[in-house]
Amino acid sequence: MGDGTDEDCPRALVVDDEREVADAYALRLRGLCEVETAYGGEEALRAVEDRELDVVLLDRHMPGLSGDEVLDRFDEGDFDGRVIMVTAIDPDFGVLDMPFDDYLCKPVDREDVQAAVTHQCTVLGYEVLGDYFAVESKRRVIEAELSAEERESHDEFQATKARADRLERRARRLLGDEADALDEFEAIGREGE
Amino acid sequence: MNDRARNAPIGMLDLTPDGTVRDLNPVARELLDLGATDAAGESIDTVFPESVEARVPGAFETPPERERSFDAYYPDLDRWLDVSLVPDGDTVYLYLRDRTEQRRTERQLADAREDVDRLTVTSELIADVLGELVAASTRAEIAETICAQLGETALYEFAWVGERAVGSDDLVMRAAAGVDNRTLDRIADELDGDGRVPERRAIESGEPETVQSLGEADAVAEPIRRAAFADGVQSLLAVPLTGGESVHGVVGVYASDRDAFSERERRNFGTVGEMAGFAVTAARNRSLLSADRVVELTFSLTDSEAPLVAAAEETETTLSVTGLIPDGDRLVCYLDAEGDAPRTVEHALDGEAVLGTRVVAAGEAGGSLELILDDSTPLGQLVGQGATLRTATYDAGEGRIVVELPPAADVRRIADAFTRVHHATVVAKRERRREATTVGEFRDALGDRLTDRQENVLRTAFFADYFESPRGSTAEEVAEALGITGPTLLHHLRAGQRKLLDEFFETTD
Repeated sequence: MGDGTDEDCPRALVVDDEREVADAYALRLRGLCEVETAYGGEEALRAVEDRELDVVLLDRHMPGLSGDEVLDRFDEGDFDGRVIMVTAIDPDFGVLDMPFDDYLCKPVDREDVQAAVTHQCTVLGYEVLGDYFAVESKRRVIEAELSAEERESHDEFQATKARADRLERRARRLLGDEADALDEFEAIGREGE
Repeated sequence: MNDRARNAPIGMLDLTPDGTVRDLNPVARELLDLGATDAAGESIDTVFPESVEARVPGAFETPPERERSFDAYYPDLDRWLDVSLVPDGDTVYLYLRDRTEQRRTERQLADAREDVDRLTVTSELIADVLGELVAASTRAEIAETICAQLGETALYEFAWVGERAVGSDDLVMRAAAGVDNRTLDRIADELDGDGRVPERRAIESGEPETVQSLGEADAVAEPIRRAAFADGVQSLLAVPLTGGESVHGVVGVYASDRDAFSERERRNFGTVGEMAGFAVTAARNRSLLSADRVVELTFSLTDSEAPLVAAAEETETTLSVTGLIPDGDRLVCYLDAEGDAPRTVEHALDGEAVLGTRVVAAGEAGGSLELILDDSTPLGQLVGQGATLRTATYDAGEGRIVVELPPAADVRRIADAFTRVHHATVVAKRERRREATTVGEFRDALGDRLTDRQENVLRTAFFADYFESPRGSTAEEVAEALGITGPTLLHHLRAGQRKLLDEFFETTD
């Protein structure tokens, strides 16, 4: 549950069957993200369906649906956020060719969890930014070919516009002050005025 | 706040309806970790520690009108608090109880219950494996049985069975089952002489090996640890398959749960290892029986108490055993008689050890008979020791019995035991190559397919001339010789014949 003031922050979900652990991480992320908590795998899947979430902190070993199983379901579904696996062991491997984006070892202190989440938000932010540029360019191309009235009833234009708006909001919330590239992009005149 | 409230064993706060603290008792101060701070006059938002849902401060957003309670965890305090909120006129009381102990006990209880559930399921699984091992007859079957049973349950991710390669320190993967994953592939890469896999240590020491946290296990090759971490495989148990002093192989069982292999599970799996080792030994003995060299022993039996020796002498007939089928604690025996009429011979066959007789084919000076003997007879004793009867001929007070034994069998011990109990001597012993390998191979392959029961039924029916035309014995007679009903006999016969034909057509294709 967000505290209402994190509206423009990245959205994180903390999943752990131990409520104490989930709640502790959630408090550690306050101010940085809008945080939700889930106390089990099934609950995590529902949370991801309900809302566009950016980063999930996923406890690996939960009774019932384990973290690995939740991850598999994410892959099967259309979840496009980043996943940080929280494990009890510290194998000290790079995340290269791991099925998740990063991992943290319990117990996780405030700085580590914040740094890991910020990092994933930045990576995701630039990914979304790339998508936004592509969609926004397309939107502008369609826009140039249509009159103001035609745009209103043009399904493809409306869908592209909605998608571009959504991506822009997401990129801004993920990148925060780093979203300058967006403003630069806006400033480029493409119609040769 | 009066003294009664001040000294109460639970925390109490006295607030205005807009959430300003008027007073609190020492227990509340302690539960909220307020120390010596003067909380009076402060807002509930600052006095109350953070929780994820922040429901206590939230309750004061508008003046509370009804009683409510909130059970929550406060990470900064590392404490569970059960808070009751009771409005009373222009005062709102908060009652605080510490629920931490209770919560943690509940959690431990849930964990313990889970352990018990897991152990129950594991025990059942192991009982199944043991049951199937008893029926497994070849090494390949043993390896596959273990893998299929352990690898394909939801309890474990995968299992594999390995053996030492012949003539080197390498391991060979005999069977594997379970979820497709990279860990198993990496293990397969590490099987050569110096590969660091836990199964190697188990095979070398003959003792089970457990790894609880594979990702962190420095003794295991890094590619395996890495793949295991990526796959979410945490723990493993490597159980050597031991038979007596020797280690035949090893089974590795992998789980995603760190605590999958408790002490009790390790012991249970140890039994699987011993049982599998035992089964491997048995399979090896079986393969020795079909080895291409055998020891042939010839006994001269002059024991007048032996029913066949006595009958041959009494009737002046030559008796030769044409077929012998061990059936539990008795033998079904088929004889050719030359000399007197089979009826006469049948009458001469008496004594406690003779459980039944029947004439199968009769002529003037000979025929054939069926004879049921108990296993205390000379033939019964030899068969019981693992010998295979080649010929047995009885004439004029002497029986000549030729048996085959595998080279590894304790030939001297078997011969001694026989001559000590009966009037008998060993007249020849020689080692020779086993005859006609193609026939032998065919028979072995068929033997693998047929159950013991089917083989016994086919053999008995054959020697009882059931397959002759006209039939030497009816189905009922053969069934009676085996102590089973007619329909049961026909069922086994049909199943046995089908397998026989299967093998025949496959072999000659």
